Amino acid sequence: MPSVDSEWLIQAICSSSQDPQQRLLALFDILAEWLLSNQDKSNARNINPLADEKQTLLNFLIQESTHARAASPEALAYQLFFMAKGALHEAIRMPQGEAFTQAKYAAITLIKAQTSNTPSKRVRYSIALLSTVIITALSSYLLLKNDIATQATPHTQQSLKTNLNNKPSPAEMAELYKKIELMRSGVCRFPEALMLPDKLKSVYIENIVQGVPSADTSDTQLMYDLLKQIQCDYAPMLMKNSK
Amino acid sequence: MGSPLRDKILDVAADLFQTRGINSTGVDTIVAVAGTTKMTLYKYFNSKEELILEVVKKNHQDFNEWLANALNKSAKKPEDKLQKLFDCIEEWITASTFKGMASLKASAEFPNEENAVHMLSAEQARQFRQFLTALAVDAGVKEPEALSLQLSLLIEGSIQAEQIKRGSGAIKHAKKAAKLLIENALN
Repeated sequence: MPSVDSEWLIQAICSSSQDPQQRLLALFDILAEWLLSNQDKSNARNINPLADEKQTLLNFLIQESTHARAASPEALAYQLFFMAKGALHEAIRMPQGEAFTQAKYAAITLIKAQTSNTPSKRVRYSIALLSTVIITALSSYLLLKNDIATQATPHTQQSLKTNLNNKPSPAEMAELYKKIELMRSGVCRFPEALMLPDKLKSVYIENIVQGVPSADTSDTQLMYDLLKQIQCDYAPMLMKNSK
Repeated sequence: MGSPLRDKILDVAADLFQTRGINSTGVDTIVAVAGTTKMTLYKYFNSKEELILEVVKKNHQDFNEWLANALNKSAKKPEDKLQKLFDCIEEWITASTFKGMASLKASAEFPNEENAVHMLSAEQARQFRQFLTALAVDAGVKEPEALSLQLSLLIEGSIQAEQIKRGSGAIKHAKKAAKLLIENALN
């Protein structure tokens, strides 16, 4: 395939966001949209926007990975570049497939792996976990108090009370954090059993979905259980333009 | 089928397709390098397209056989085989005999979905993903198809990059990525 200059791609990525992590993810959205808008054009299939003969795009990805505080920016840049190349190739071969969606999921995993141990991320990780506490404390209080909780089976009430004293393992806490982060990119539906009063719902959305820190501490097991019941739809969010 | 001359033509064609491109390599060049004649080539292959299809099929078959063997040797448990997958892929890619993946070259040079070469390449990609999915299922991955697609994209992307710049050492980054994606999927 003839190659094209990567400059247009870099410009589009820079326009999409100021945040380096969002820029890295925007690579996939922009390529997906480029392919979608060029599918009917016969010459599009012969153009390779990722040929990158002068490594301009790769260098840009290394730069953004550095700004994103990746532990190994060069490794991350190459990994994302490979994912994008593979996704483009596959998406051309199978336009109805999920190539870019899965490539982006993979990118999220790879970026997280490189950035979750940097000090600022550690602090934010702790704050995000701490932020679940108010929800845990308030929701467990209200669930036990209100009509929905009283309609629960004795077993449920018992397990709620028991769960309050169980601390999640590090793997469960990582899963919790992952779920919270992932929820931010999706459109989520809360089961009826979790129809909390408006005040609690807004705190829940503010602290969990939007990740605004709060300052209290308690057991997160109940939040973990509640989060497991939330169904989220990610595909439309992943494929839309980054602002 | 098992004629040495036929095999020689296939080998030479595979090499030239890889280094110069499929469309850029004429039959004249193939027979000249193979030290034979066009008449002989057309005795074994009805057309250039048939030759291309045979090269792509053979490359895919060689790879599949090699990989299955390498994985079986490397580990017994399915989750361990999954972890070893990219070690094996790396070994295949960095071998001095590595000629690239004919399937990737084929789908890049034949973008028309109705073309026989394109269809073969798409079918091979599908089969490879099925193989990865089965590996993931056996290893107990919760979303095996998602992981197999992610891994196949990673493999394709890194092979393309390696084909462009051999020995760049970038494969080690892909290997690390594979391990992270597999760990993520297993947890």
